[in-house]
Amino acid sequence: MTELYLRYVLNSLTAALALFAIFFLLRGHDLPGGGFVGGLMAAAAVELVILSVGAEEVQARLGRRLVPLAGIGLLVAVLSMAVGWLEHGTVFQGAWFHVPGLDFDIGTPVTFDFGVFLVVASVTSLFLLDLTLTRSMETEQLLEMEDEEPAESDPAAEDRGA
Amino acid sequence: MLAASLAILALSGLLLWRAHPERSQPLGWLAAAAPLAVLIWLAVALYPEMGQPYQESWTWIESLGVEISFRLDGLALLFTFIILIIGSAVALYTHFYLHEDDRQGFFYANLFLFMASMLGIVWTDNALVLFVFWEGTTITSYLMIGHRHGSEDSQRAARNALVITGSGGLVMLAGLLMLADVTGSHALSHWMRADLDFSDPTVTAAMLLILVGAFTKSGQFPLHFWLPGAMAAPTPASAYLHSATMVKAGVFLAARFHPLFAEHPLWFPLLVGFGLATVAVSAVVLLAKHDLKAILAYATLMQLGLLFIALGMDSEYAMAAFILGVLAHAFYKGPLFLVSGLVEHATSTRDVRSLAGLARPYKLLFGITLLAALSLMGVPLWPGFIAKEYLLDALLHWDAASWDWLGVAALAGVVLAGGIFVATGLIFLVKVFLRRQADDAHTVDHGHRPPAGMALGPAVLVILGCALPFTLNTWLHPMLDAAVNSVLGYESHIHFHVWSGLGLPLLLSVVALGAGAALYLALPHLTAPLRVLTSSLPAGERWMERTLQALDAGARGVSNGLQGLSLSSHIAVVLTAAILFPLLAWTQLGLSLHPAFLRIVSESRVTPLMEILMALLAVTATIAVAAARARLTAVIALSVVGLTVTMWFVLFAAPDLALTQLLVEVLLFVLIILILYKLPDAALPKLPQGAVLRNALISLGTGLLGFLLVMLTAGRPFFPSVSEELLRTAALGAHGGANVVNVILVDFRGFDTFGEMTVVAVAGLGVYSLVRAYRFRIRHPRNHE
Repeated sequence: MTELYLRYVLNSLTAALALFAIFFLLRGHDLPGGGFVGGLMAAAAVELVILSVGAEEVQARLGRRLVPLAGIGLLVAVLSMAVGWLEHGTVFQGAWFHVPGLDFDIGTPVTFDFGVFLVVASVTSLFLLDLTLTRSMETEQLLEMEDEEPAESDPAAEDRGA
Repeated sequence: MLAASLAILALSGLLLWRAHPERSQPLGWLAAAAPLAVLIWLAVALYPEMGQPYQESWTWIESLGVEISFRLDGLALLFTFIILIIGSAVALYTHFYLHEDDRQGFFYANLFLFMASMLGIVWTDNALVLFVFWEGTTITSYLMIGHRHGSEDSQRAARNALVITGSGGLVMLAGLLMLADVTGSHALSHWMRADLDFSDPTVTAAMLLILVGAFTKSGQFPLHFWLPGAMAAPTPASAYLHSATMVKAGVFLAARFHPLFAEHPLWFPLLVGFGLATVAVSAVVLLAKHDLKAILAYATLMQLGLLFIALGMDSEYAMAAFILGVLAHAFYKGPLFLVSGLVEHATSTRDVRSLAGLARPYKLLFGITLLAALSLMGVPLWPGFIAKEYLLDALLHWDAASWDWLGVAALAGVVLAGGIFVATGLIFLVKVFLRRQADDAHTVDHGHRPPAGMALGPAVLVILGCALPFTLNTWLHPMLDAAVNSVLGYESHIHFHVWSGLGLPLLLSVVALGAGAALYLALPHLTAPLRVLTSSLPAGERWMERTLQALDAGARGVSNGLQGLSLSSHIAVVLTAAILFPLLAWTQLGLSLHPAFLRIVSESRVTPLMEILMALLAVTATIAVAAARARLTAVIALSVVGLTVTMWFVLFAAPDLALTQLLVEVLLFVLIILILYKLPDAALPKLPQGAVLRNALISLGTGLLGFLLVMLTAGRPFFPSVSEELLRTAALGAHGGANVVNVILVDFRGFDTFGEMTVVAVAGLGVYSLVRAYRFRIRHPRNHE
């Protein structure tokens, strides 16, 4: 389902969406946005890529990384929690650090939000990618069957489809 | 120091797991070194100040008053000593016993985690921490019983043990919490000083619940059957958990609470009653068994019953009997279990009927068995004898008030147990090692000589056991004295007699010896009556099986009835419940409605015309959803509803919600379209009239409820200051966070968000595996037909 016009338009659009996702993630502390919205935005970008280059291509490049990425997101969140514990003795208390050379501070709520972003982005992309892939494979299967003799369809697949 | 010890043990277990100890000999020896090193460390540090309890504590959950506190008193020290010494011997033995098992490392991990949990039970001074460690032993025991997880027996035995000891632990937790409520503290040492009012039903109930935990853990009648079943575990686990340590946790708990409850009028009848019942039932079953490990398991049950009988009383003698009983039992029953494993290793069987004449080829094994069996049989001057003398003495001196008959019955029970132990010892010595000819006439000695290292553990243990009488008043005296004091709850300086002179106790011991020998000789003629007796005993296992089946059937009935039919009826059930319960609450509370929407309208900055238009759009789209003939139309109309709501958020200055809603709408739309591709027919199926009516009613009801709830909450500002308060704290505390919604999400309520993202990740995993499995089936259709 790679559409020609999409392939041309989407390259730039995807990049914009990806930037937007990070933009929303980072400004979440003070302005509308945050990890959840950013993550959804990133998933929308992935969906656009799926539409433009095809699910198989995305699966080959990204498919194996999505589940580990969700795990890394959880890990980042846990570590952010732990920093507050080490710093103030209370789990989840926000800890802020000033990095020399930057005119803003980095804090554990932001890194925690980054964990949320990773989990939401990877899991939502996983849903989209897996459902698309399954669909196209099923189509392939049907096409192959039409080429072969008409007998012997797969009853299990039909049950699931019904 | 104590916490570090626990960490060392747990960590060495995990390291051994990764190190594949089955591949290298030195790792088995190294495994044995870890508990030994901890023991030496503790001994060097603590021996000089044995009389004073050693304490350590860290704050864990301040708001709940939970602190990880350890308090090492005499009783704890005694158990520590047993756990670590036997643990070391068992760790060495395991390496040889499981030499070909590639899950040896996993077994070691469980063994060491168990060791740490057991020490935790013994050391902790906090009731909740006690519970955590208690269930830690339950879980590790479960994993070890199920070590051979391919066998159905192991599975059932592991499940029984988990269900019984696990739920016993939960019951105990309830009792602990009740006591915490009564005394206002979670510290066990604080409880011991508390002056409880025994006429208070809460205190009595707490005592009963705690005793349920103790009885289930220590395999007391009628839930005793899990312990013989647990013999499905590899022999090192049986020797360690199900004889020397874990099953003693129940006894330990009763001993811990002895100073608190000993004067309760129900304490004596309960402990002695259940102990005695266990002794009597196990005695009958033991004689009918032929498996070496089963025989030892029932003997263990009897010994645990005897320990409870000792704890039922409140005298120096009884406590001395308890302390000596625990020590003696650990140092003879452990080796006997290990010997049964060695016998199995040499001959591939544990059935006494096919064993004979092992004394000649396996002299060392025979020596170990002889020394252990003499203690088991209560032959004078062996530790088992000393413990029994003290118990008899205590029973003879105990004034049981209105329970005289129970005291006499307990005395008879102790003599009976003595006799059975003698018969058990003779079965081991004569049948396995000395006689020439096995019952079924074929010799089974394969000459598969166990390695010397395998016999080292039991040999050391049995020698230590035999050395006990000589050290009672010298080396061990400070520890035993402290142990007796902490079970008694007051200071007393006891001097241990190895030989308490001629008297009634000695006479009873001799009677037990004679009766045991007679019983052993009569055993071949007792087969038929024993079978009748054992079959007439209440079958706890069958009850449990039936209860579990009923539970399964009930759960299946409930879930099929509520959610098993189809997606639409599942949702119908959920929504009906969601409508009915709030309505019920509403009528109960008698809340009245306010014309809230008028207020909202008057405060909004939007022209009413705009709102009316948008409401019309939403209503039209909703009607379109319901009226749609094709799925795609319905989905598109539904998206229109969602986008209208998004517009609403924009108009009422909630950009965060609007943004999120918009993205959710878009992605959901894509997802639903992807799913629609899979459905066979684009048109919606025609529903019967009744279903349409039901759906309409539920939909209208849900919408109405939502409307009413909004009216109610908007009309009644329950907490008017909340939003201002949040705005203020966000600006102050959260490092200048101006977006309050997000600050709440990631900072104030971070823990909730963490839970939610875990749910998202787990849901992702679920979808991942479902879809992958489906795709695999499409790709390989032939494999699954």
